[in-house]
Amino acid sequence: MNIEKPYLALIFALLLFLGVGSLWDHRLQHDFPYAYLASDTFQQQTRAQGIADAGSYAHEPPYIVKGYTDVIGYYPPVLHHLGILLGNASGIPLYDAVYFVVFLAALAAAFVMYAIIRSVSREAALLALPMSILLFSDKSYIGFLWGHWASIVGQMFLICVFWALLRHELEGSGIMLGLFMGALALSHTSKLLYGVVFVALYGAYLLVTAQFTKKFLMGVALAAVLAGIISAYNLLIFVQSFQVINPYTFTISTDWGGTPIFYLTDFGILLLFMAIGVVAGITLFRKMAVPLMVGIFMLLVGYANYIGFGIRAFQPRLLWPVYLMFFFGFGLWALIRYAPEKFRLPSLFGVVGVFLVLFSGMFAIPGVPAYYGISEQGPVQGLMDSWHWEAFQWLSKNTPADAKVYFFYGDVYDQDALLRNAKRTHVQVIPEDFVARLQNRSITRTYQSDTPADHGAGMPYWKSFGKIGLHQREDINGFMWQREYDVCDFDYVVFDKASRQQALAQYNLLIAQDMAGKGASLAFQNDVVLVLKNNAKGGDCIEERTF
Amino acid sequence: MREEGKALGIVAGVLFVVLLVAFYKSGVIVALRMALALLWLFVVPGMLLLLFLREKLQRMERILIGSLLSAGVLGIASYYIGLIGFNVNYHYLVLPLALDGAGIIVFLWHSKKKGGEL
Repeated sequence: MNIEKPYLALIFALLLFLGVGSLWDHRLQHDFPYAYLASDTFQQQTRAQGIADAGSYAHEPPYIVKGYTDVIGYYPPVLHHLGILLGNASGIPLYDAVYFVVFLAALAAAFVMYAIIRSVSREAALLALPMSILLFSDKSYIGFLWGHWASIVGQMFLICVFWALLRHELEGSGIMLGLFMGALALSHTSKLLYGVVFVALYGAYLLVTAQFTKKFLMGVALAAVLAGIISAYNLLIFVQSFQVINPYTFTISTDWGGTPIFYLTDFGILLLFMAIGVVAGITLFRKMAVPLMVGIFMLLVGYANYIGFGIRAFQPRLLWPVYLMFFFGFGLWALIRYAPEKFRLPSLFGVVGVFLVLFSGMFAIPGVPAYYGISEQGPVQGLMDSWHWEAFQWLSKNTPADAKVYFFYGDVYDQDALLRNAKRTHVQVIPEDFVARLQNRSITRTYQSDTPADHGAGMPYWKSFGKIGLHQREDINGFMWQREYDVCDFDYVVFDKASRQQALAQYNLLIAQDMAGKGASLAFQNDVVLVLKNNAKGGDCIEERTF
Repeated sequence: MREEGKALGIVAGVLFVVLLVAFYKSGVIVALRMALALLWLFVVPGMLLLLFLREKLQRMERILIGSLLSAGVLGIASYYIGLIGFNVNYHYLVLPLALDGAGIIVFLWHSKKKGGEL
C-alpha cells in the first residue's frame, strides 16, 4: 500500500491546522485584520489594499508615503498581487487573503524541500518532513506574526530555484529556473543574490565533478535572460531607491531590533541527528549534492549577519527548519537503516510518529523544539479591533481623499502602519510629548509629532526617463517632514476614548472637548474612537490653556 | 488524461477536506470557495503547464511545482498587466485561463514534436 501520499496529506493538514488554523481561531475570514501582531503586517496589508483600490501598482498608495501621489510602486509586488488574486477568487477579505498566501508559501516551501530530498532518498525525505512543523516554533512563527511576509514568499521561490537546478536535465528547466528567479526577484529582491550565488556554486560543483554540460549552461543563460527581463524594471527601481537609502556596509549585526533571532542551538537535541546527517551526507556527497548544498549554503547565509547582511541573514533563519531538514531526516535514516530490513519501514514510520507528537508540542520535552501554541490561552486577535477598524473604514470612505488626519494618543498606534488603514495622509502625536504636556496640565495647539510612512526606499519618483529622485532626500522642508505640528492644520482629528492608561484617554477627551468648544464637529464615534472634523482648519481651533 | 483527472479530483478533495477541518468554524461554503480558488489559480494551470513532463516527473511533484510555477507567473503577470492598465481586480478571471491555454499549447506542441499520443 502506498502510504506516502496519505502521509503527505496528513502533514499538509497538520501544518495548516497548527500554523494558520489555530492562529486564526479556525476561521478563514474575519471582520478585520486578524492576528496581525506588528506594524510590518499592516505595511503589507495596506499596500495590497492600496494596489487593489487603485487597480494597479503604478504608484505607491499616497497614505503610505506621506501623501505624495507620484511615488513609484517600489516594493517587490508578487505577494500583494497573489493576495489580490486569491482574495478575489475565494471571496475572503484581502487582509486575510494576503496573510494566507504567506502560510501557503511556507507550506509549499516545505514540500518542495521534501521533493528535493526525495530525489536522493525517499526515506530521508519521509523522516525530514515533520521538522517543518518547527516553522511554527516560537522564533520562526515571528516571521508570520510580525510581517516578514515578502521574505517568506521570496524564500519559497528560492527553494523552487534549488529544485529547478536539481532538475536541470528536464526539458524546459531553463525556463522554469528563469521564471522562479524572476518571481524571487519580484517577491523579495534582496534574496535574489542568494539565488544567483547558489546557481554559480552549483555550476562550479558540476564543473568539478565533470557533470557540467552545454545544456546546463544554455539553460542557465536562458534563465538569466528571462529573469533579467522579468525583473529589470523592479531592479532599476531597487538600485536607485532601496540601495541608496540602505547601502551595503560591512558591519557585524547581532541584534535584530527587538525581533527574536533564530539560533542553531534552538534545534536542541535535534542537532545530534543533524550532525550525523551532515557527516553522512558529506560521505555520500555526489549522490546527496543538492539537498546537502542547500542546507550548508542556507546555514552559512544565516550567518551572513557577520559580514554586513544584517536582517537579510536573520530572515533566512526563519526557514531553517525547512532548509536544514535534510540533515535531520538523513541523520535519522543513517541510524534506522542499521535495523533489520523487515523492521526498517515500521521503524521509520514509528520514528516519524514520535517526532510528529514531539514537534506538535503535545508533551514539552526539554531540548526538543516544538510548535508554539500561541492560541492556547485564547484567540489571538492581534493589534486591530472592531472599533478601530470601523473608525478607519469610516475615515477611508467618508472624508475627502486629500484630507489630512491627526491621531492623538492610542495604545496601539506605535505600530504605526495600522494607521494607513484610514487611507489618508496622517500624522500622530509622539507619546512622550503627549505625556509631558499632560503632566504639565496644559492643552496646546502644537505637539511634537511623527509622520509615519514607509521610508525604506526613500519615496522614489521619476525625475526623467530612467532616472529616479527621492522625496525623502530632496523634500526635507515640506509639510510632512516637520517635527512639530499644529493640530489646527488638519482636517480630522482622532481621539481614542479608551486606553490601558485611563489618564491618557481622559486627556484625549479633554482636548477633544476643547476643540468641540471652538467649533469642531463630531464626525464619527463608537465606544472606543472619536473623530472630530476641524471646522477651523488653519485658524484657531483650540484654546491653549492649563487645567 | 483520465489519470490526470483522477489526480485532480483527489487533490481537490484533499484540499477541501483539509480546509474544512483547519477552518471548521467558517463552514462548508467558505472552505469550498477557497479550495476552488486554489485549484483555479494554481493547481489546474500548474498541471496544464507541466503536462508535457508527465513522463519525466512524478505526478504529485509535477502538481506541486506546477502550482508554484503558476503562482510565480500569476504574480509577475498580474503586476505588469496592471501597470499597463488592466485593473488587477479582474486578473483572477483572465490570467488563469491564459495559463491554462499556454499549458495546453505547450503540451500539444510537445506531443506533436515527439509524435506521441495525447
